[in-house]
Amino acid sequence: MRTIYIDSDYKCHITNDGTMTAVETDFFDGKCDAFIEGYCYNTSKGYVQIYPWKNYNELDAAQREYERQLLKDLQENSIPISELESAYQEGVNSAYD
Amino acid sequence: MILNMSGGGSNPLNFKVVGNPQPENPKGNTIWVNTDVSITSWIFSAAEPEAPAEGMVWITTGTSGTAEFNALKKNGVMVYPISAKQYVSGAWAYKDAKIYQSGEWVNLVEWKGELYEAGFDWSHITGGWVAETRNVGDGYNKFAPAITDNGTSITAAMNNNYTGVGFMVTKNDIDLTGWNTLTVEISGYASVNDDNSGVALAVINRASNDSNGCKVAQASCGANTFAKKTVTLNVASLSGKYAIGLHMYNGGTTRNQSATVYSMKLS
Repeated sequence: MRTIYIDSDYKCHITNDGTMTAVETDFFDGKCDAFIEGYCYNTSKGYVQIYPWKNYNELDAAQREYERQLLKDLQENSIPISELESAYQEGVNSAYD
Repeated sequence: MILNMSGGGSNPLNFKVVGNPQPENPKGNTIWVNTDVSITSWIFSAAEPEAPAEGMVWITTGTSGTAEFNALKKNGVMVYPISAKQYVSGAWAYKDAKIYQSGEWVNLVEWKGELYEAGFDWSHITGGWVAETRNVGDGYNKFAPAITDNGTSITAAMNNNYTGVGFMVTKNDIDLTGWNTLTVEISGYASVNDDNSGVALAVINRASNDSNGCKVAQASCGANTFAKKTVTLNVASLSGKYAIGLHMYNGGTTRNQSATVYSMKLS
């Protein structure tokens, strides 16, 4: 669940400029800021419509790039299995010291 | 212009109207109506026939179409068929129909964005309607809704399983390029009427196997028991092909969520 902010044109924002309405939604779970800000959260008809106002292909490209970067960061910062195993064994060994 | 025939005699006409089975070696301008109900008579007319009889086929006509033909063997009366209906059990029902021209079957029915209308599922466009599931997060369950054909409407129903998530969507992906609005006439029983609604009109990226992440756009359809209503969804910024239909989620204490679709179309 994430809090987003809606302006008077029902466009979504990730920060509030002081004039927007806050809503909580899980529609954008896992989505990057650029993706979210290409959408509308429209309640003008008495029900919620969530749809892109920017070309969706552009938003999808931004989301894919975001996910690629996340994966890259994960791979670069991941702890090798061998180090995890060594740390575990060290902990086990210390219990018997 | 109205053409109709229900008897024998010499035939000046340059076409014929038949039901199932689809003819294997048809003559040119054979109109095949995909119906197992006996065709008792037929009529070509822009206006609804005033006194239809059981089994009558009504080919609606316009001033343009995808399958125009000359109705007469001699001289010329150009006909522009645009859809086919048959009078069955006291009501008109859309029927799929094709005409044999230039060695191939051509769709008689001109598609204007319809996805479902009063019992006609536009299967040559949609492929029909199917129940699907996708991966869900911890604490949720996949559940493919039961789909029931009511004759002039179609119902998708969830079970009593809390946090069940499922979809009723077009079997084929639909190209949304150039379309602005998706509209559904729908009634049902759902949880809350917000973006976490039990029943939502949805555009689905079929390449995604995530029940939430697959949704490209959605419109919540109603809360608690809701009577037949019209719900629209802006699709103007979407291009390319997507599955279209309903996302259903048994949320909170409201289970057995269901939705009955009377019509769905793009415009």
